[in-house]
Amino acid sequence: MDYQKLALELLEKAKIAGATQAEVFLQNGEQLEIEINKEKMQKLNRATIKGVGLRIYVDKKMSFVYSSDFTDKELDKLVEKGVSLAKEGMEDKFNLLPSPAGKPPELDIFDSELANVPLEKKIDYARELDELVFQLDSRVANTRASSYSDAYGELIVGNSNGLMHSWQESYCGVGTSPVIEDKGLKQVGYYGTRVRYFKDLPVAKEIAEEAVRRASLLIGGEKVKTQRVPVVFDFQVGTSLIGGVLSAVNGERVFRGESFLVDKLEEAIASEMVTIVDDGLLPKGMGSSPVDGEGVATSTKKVVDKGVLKLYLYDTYTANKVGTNSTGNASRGSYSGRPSIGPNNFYLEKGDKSPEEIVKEVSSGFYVFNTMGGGVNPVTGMYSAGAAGVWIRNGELAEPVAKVTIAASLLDMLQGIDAVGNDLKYDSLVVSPTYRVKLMTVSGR
Amino acid sequence: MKIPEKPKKGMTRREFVKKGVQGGIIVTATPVIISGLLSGCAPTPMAPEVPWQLTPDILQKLIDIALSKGGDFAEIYVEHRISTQISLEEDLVKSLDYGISQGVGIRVVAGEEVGYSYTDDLSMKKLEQTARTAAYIAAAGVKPSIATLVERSVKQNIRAEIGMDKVIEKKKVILLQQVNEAARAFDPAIKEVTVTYTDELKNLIIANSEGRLMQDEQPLFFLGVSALAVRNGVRQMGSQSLSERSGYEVFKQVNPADLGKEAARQAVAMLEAREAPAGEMPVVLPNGWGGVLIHEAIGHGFEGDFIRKKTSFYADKLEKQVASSKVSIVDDGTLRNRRGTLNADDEGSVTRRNILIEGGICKGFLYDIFNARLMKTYSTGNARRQSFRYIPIPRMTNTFMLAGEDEVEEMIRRTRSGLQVRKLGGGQVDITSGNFVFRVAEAYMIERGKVTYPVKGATLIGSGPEVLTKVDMVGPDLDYGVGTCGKSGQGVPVCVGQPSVRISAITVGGTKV
Repeated sequence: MDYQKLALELLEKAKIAGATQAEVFLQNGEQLEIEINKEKMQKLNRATIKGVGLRIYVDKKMSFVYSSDFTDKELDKLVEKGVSLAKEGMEDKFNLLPSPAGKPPELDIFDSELANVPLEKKIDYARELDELVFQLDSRVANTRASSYSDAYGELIVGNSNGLMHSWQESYCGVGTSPVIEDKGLKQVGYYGTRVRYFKDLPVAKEIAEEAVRRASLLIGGEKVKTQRVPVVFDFQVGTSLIGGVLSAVNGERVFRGESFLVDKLEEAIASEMVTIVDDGLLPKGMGSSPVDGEGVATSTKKVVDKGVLKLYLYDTYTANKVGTNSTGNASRGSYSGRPSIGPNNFYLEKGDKSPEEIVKEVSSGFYVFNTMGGGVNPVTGMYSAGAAGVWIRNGELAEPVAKVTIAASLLDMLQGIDAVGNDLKYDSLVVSPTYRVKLMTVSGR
Repeated sequence: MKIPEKPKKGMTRREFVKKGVQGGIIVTATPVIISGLLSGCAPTPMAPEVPWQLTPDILQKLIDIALSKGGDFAEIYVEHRISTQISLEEDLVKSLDYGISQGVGIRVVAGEEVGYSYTDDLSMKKLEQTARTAAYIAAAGVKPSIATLVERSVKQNIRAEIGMDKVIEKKKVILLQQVNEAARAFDPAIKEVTVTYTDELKNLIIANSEGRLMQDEQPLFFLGVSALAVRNGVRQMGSQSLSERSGYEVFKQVNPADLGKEAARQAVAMLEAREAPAGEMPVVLPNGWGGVLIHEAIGHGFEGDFIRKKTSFYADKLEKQVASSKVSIVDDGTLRNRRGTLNADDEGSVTRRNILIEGGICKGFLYDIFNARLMKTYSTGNARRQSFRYIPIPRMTNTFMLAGEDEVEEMIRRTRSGLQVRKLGGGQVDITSGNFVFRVAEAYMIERGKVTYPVKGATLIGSGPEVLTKVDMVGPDLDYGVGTCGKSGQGVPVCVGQPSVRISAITVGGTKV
C-alpha cells in the first residue's frame, strides 16, 4: 500500500468533513521477539503493527483519533468521529501545527538487510547466549530469559500545511538475565544492548560474560550502616539522574511550574564536568530521527553546557505557548498516542577517566549497579531509590551491598559530579557513562 | 437443522454521524451471534458482517491450522477495544481522544515452548497466515486431538448500570470540571491542576483446542487528578484517583469534587515537609493504596511462572511460615466491579478468591493454564494480558491483606520514633532477591507516640520475606486502592488493599542521617 498517498487522502477527507487543520501519522512495520530459557523457546512472538493517528482541528479546538482498521469505510467513520469530537472541545488559542521546512538529512537508522536475515539465525543467537551463561559459571542455575528482538518499519507524518515526511527505521536488541545460586542465596544479573544494524550486534560471548559478571559481583549483598559517602553510578543506572534532568527540562512541565529547574536558564545547575546533549542526528543513534513525531527537523543541541542550563525542550504547541520555537522534541510512542515532549538521543557527554580510575580515587564509598523504584521527583527536586552494588574501600571493590537506599537532592547530585567516565554507549534513548557523585546519603541500618 | 442467527448489523454511516453530533460514543453491535450458532454449521466459514466477530467455524479452523505441526494446546484470542480519553489542564479541555483497536492473537504451546503471532488485519488470508506462524513453534510432530468448541456462559462479577460508553462527552467533561474546580478552590497555594479521564470497552472472544469458547465484555474507567502547590519556592504535588468497572451510576455516591480536594490537600500538606530521616525504624502504613506493599512484597513472588522456574523466593515455601501470624493475604478476581475484577481471566478460566497466605502460612500460588499444567495443578483464573498483542501470563487481580483487630490509634501511640505514611507512591520488586521499594508521597514523623511534622523525599526499602514477618499490628479498616501493574512489558489494571498496618522495622531512605 502506498502510505504517502493514503496520508494525503486522509488529509483531504478531514478537510471535506469540516476540519480546518489536520495531521496524519501512519505506522507500518514488523516486530519479532524471541526468548530462550534453558534450551526452550519460551517466547516466539511475531506481529505486524499497522495504524493511523489523526489530530483534527476545528478552528482552535482539537481531537485525536486512532485506529488500525484501514478499510475505506472505517477510515471515513474515524475522520468524522474526529471532527465531531473536535467540535465538542474547548478552544485553545495556542493549538498549532508545524509548517514545512525543507528536506531533512538522510540518517543511518535503517538496516535494509534485516528482513532478509533468516529467522533461524536470530533464534541461534538467543540460544547461544543462553547456553553460554550456563557454561561461564557453574553457579548459574537459571536465566529469566535470553532474548533477541527486532523491529523495522515505515513512518509517515503529514499535515494540512503541506508538511509530508516519510522514513524507515529498524533496530535489533539482545540481552540476558542469568540467575546465580550460591549457598542458598540467589542473584540475578542483566546485560544487553541494542543496535541499528544486525551486523553490529556484539558476539554473544561479550553479552553473556558481562551479565554473569554483574550477577557474581552482587550476590550476597547486605545492608551497610547509614552514612554519607561518595557514590559511583555504573553506566546502566547513571541514566536515572539523566532521565530526571530530561523530565525537568520538559517545556510543558516548566511552563506549568512542575519542575525544579524552573527559572534556572543560564544558571550553573551542575558541575563543570557535566555537559548533557539532546541529539536527533547522531549516526546510528537509537533515538535518531530525521524529523520528530510532528515532522519538525531534529538537531544537535547542548541542554546543559559545562554545568550551565542552556535550554528547555519543546514541541510546536508548547513552544507557541511560551513564545519560542519547537526544538524538534515532539515524541510519539506509537500511532495510538498524541505527540508530547520527549528525547531524541539524550546523554551525559563522556569524560576521560575509565571506571577503574574513578573507583581508585575513592577511599570509602558505594558503587551502585542496580537501582529500584524510579528515584527522581522532578517537581520537588529530590532523589531517593533502592540500590544494590559493591562497597569501595581504599580504591578497591570490597563486599556486595543490597537492601539500602541512596538519596540526595538532584541539584546536590548534579553539582556534586566530580568524575565522568569514558564508557558511554549509545544503545538507548537516554544513556550515560559511569560517573561519581561526591556525597549522598546511603540508608541501611 | 436450525438456521443460524444473523449477526446484528453495524451502524450505517448516517446513523454514525447523527450519534456523533449528539456526542455519543458508538459501540459496535454487541456480540450476540455466538449463542445462536452452535447447532447450525455452514460447510465453509462465512465471513462475519462485523469483521472482528469471528464465528465458531472460523475459530475452529484457525485452531486446526495452529496445531497442524503438532503441539499440545492452541488458543485464539479476539479483541475489539474502543476507548476515550479526555484531559483537562490549565483550566482547558486540552483534547478529546478516541480510538479503536482490534486484532487477533494466536498461541500454540508445545511442551515448555510458546509460539505467538498476532495481527490487526482480520482478512481470512492474514488470520490463516498468523495461525501458521504460531504453529512454527512445534517441531514436526503429531497433531493432537482437538475438541469441538462449546460455548460457556460467563459469571457476572461486573455489572454497569449506565455504561460509560453510553454517556455523552459533555457529561464526562462536567465531571472533570468539578474535580478541577474543587482542587483549585482548596487553597491559594494550588497553582496547577491536571485531570485525566479514560474509559474503555473491551469485547473479547476466546476459543481453545480444549473446546472452550467464551465471549465477554470488560468495561473500565479511570478518573485521576494531580495538583501542584507552590509556596515560597517550594513545590509539591498531590494526587487522587478513582477507577472501577461500574458505570456512570458511581457518581451518585462519589462526588468528583472530593477527588480534587484530596489531591490539593496532599500537595498543600507537604509544602511544610522537612527532610526525611534515614535508617531503620517502625512505620505505620495506611489502608487502601498502602496495600501496594503487599503487591510488591509478595504478590509477584506468588505468580506461577516465577514459581515454576524457581526464580521466586517463595517457590519452595508452600505450607511454611512466611509472615507474622497476623497476616492473611488474598487475591480475589470476583469482587464486584473492582478495577482488578474479571468475569473470567484472559484464557477464559473462571476467576476466584485465591488464598495466598493464611495466618502467616503460604497456602497457594497464582496460575494460568500453561504454568499450572507444567506444575501438575490447575489454573486459578489469573491469566491476564494487556491486549491481543501479548501472551497471557500469571498476574494479580485484586490483592489485599485481610482486616485484623488492632486499633489504629494504638499503632501511633506505641511508636516511640518512626514514620506515619499517609500515602505511598509507586513501587517495584526484584522477585529473585525479594527486595522491593516504594516511594512515599505523604508522610509524617512519629515522635514519642504522637504524629508531629511532615517529611518529604523518602523511599522505603525492604525484603518481602523479611518485612512480612515484621508486621506486628493489623487494623480493622480494610480499604482498596487502584493501579496498573507492569510485568514483562505489559500493564494490566489491578486493585491493591489492606487495613492500616504497623511494621516494626523497615529501612527509610531519607537524606537526614
